[in-house]
Amino acid sequence: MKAVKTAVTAALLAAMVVCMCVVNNMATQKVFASEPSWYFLSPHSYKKFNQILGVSFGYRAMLSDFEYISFLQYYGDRSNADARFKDLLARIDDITDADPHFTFAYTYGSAILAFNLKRYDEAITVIKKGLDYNPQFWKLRFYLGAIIYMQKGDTKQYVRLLEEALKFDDHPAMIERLLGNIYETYKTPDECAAYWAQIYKNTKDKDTRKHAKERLLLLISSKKISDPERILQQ
Amino acid sequence: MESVLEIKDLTKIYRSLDFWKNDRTVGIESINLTVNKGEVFGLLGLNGAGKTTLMKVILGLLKPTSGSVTMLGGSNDDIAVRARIGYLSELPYFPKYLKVHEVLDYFAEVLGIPGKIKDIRINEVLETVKLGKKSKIQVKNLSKGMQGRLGLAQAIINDPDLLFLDEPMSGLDPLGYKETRDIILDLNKRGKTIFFNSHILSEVEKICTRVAVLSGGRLVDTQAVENIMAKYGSMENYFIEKAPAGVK
Amino acid sequence: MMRRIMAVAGYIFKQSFRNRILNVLIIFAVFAIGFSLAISELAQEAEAKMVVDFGMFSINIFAFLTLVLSMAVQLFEETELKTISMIMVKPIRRYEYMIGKYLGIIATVLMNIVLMLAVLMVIIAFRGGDPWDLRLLLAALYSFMGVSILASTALLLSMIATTVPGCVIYLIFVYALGHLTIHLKNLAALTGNYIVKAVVDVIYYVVPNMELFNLKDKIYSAAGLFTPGYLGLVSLYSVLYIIITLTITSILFKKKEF
Repeated sequence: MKAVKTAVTAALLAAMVVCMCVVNNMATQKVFASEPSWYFLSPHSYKKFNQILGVSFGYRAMLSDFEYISFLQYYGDRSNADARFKDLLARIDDITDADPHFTFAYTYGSAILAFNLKRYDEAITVIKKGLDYNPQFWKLRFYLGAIIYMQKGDTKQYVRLLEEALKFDDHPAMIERLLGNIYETYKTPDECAAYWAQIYKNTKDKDTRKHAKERLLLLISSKKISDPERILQQ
Repeated sequence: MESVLEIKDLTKIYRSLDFWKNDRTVGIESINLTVNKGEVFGLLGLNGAGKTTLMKVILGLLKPTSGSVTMLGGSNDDIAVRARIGYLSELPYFPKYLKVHEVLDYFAEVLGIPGKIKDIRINEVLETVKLGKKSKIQVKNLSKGMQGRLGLAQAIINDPDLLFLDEPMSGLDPLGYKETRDIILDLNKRGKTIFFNSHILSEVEKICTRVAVLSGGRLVDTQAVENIMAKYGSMENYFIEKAPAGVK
Repeated sequence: MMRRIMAVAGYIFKQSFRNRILNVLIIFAVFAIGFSLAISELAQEAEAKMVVDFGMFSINIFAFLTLVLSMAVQLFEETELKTISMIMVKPIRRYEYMIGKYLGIIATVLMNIVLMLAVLMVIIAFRGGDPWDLRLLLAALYSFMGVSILASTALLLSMIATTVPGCVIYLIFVYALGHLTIHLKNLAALTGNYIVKAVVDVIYYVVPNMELFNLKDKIYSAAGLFTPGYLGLVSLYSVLYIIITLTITSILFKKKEF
C-alpha cells in the first residue's frame, strides 16, 4: 500500500514537473516574441555593467528612468554645449537600451536633436529605433515627418505635423515652445497671443508656462494685439 | 500493570556530515525499557549520557538507527497517539511578541481542541501553572520561570495521558522547584504517567516512583525509588555509584 | 487538517506582524515609495513614469526583503532556539506544518505589498496618474506571485542550508539567477555549444523563472504581455512550481531530525 502511494506520488510529481517545464517554455517564448533581440543580454552586455545589475534584480524600467535623469542633467549642463552635447545620442541609447518602451525618451530625445541641435540624421536614427520596437506608437511618425520636412526646409509640412503631435497628451513641452516661436515668424500677433494663452492655460510644464507668459506679456506690451483684455481673461 | 511506553533494543547512532561518514557517535545503544501507567519515571545520567537523545527518539524527533518504540499501544508516528501525549522541551522558547493566551491558543488549535471549550481549557491550564493573571501579557515580559511554566502549560493543555518533561526545573529557583513538583504530583494523582529527565536529584527523590540511569548511551540500571532509598539512603549515593559505570 | 494548517499560518503571520524588524522594514518601504515623489521631480515630463517605476521596484525589493527576514527569523527560532520540537510532537503532520508555514509567510508578504501599493496609489494620484490602472495592479499581483514562488524555494533551501546566513545568501542568489535565466537561455542559443546549452537548460528549469513575473518593467510596453493567455500561463507556472517545491520540501522535512 505504501509502495503504491509512493509510486503514485512520484508519478504525479513527475507529471507536474514536465507540465511546469512546458508552461515555462511557452511563457518564455511569449517574452522572447515581445521584445527585440538586443533586449536580452548579449556578449557585449559586459560594457554596461549597470544594465547587467538592472537585469539581475529586475529593475530595467527604473534603470532607464535614472538614465533619463542623467541625460537631462547632461543636456542641462551648459558646459557640455561647448562640445555640442556630443554624447547625447549615446545617452538616449542608454535609456532606450534599458527600456525600449520608454517612448517619451524617443520623442524628447529626437526633438532635442532635430529642433535644438539640427542633428537630423541622429534624430531620425532615434525615431526609427523607437518605431522598430514600438510599432504601435504611431505618434512617433508625426515627429519623423516633421524632422524630415524640417531637414528639407518645408516649413508648412513640418508645422502641420507638429500641430498634430501637439494634440497628444504625451508630447514634449518643447514642441509647444517650438511651435510658438515658429508662429511668431509668420502668424498675426492676435493668433500668436491666442496660442500662447492656450499654452499657458494647458501646459503641464512650468518652464513652458513661464515662457508662454513672457511671450504673451511682450505681445501685449508691444500693443500689437487688438483685444488684450479678452486674451488676459482667457 | 498496563504499560504505556515500551522501548525495545533502541539504538541511535549519529553520523557526522563528512563525506565518508566515518565519524560516528553513539547516542543511545540497545535500550530496553518499559514504563507503566501511573508511574512518575525519572531518567538520570551525566551530561552527554543520552537522556535527551532517548527522549527525542521516543517522541519521533530523532529517527532510531534500530529498535522500536510503542507508546499508548501505538507508534509515535500515529496522530491519534500524539494527541494523547504532551512534551516540554528543555529551555522552551516562545515568540516574545505573542501573548500567553495566543501561544496556548495556537497549541490548542493544532491539537484540535473544540472552539467552545478551548478558552475554558486555556484558562484552566493557566490556573494550574499559576499563570492565570498573565494571560494577556506578552512572552517577553515573562520571567524565565514563568516561561518554563508556560511551556508546561502547552504540554498539558490537551490533558495528556503520557507526559514527557525534559529538565522541567532547569533554571528555576527553589520556589519554582516546589511549584513544578506540586504540578507534576498533582497530574500524577489524576492518573497521568510522567516521564522526565533531570539533574536535580533532590527533586527526583521526591517526585519519582521509578528511575533509570543512563551512562555512555547505555541503560545501566532501573529501580524503584523506595528500593534505592532503602539501599543507598539517598539518590545522590545511588547516582554516584551507577552514573559513571558506562563511561568509557 | 485545514484547522491545523491555518493555526500554523496564523501563528507565523502573528509572529511576523509583531516583529520589530519587519515593522521597521515596512516603514522604510513606505518612505522609499514616498521618496519617489521627490526623485520624480528630476525626471522632467516623465514624473508619473518615474513614480510608478520607482514605486514598483520598491514594492518588489521590499517584498523580497520581507521574505528574507521572515525566513531568517523562522529558521533562527527553529534551529537555534529549537521551538519546532514542541510543535512536531503534537498531532500535526509534517506537510501540514510546512504548508501552514508557507501560507503564514506569504500572508505577511501580501500584507506588506498591499500596504506599499496603497501608498504608491496615493502618490500616483497626487502626481496626476491613474492609480487604478489595471496594468499597475496586475504588475503588483504578479510581483506577489513571484515572491510566493521564492517563498516556496526558500523553504526548500532551508532544508538544505544548515545556517541562517547560508539560506539568506542562497535566496539572494536564486533571486538574481531567476531574473537572468531567460537571458542565459538566449545567450546559450547564441553560442551554439551543446554543453553550455544543457547546463543553462538545467538552471533554466530548476531555478524559478523570475523574469516571467516581472511585469513592472512592461507597464508602459504595448508588447502584449498583459494578455489573459500570458497571465494564465504564468499563473499556472507559479502554481505548479509551488506545489512541486512544497512537495519536495515536505518529503525532506519528513526525514528531518530535531
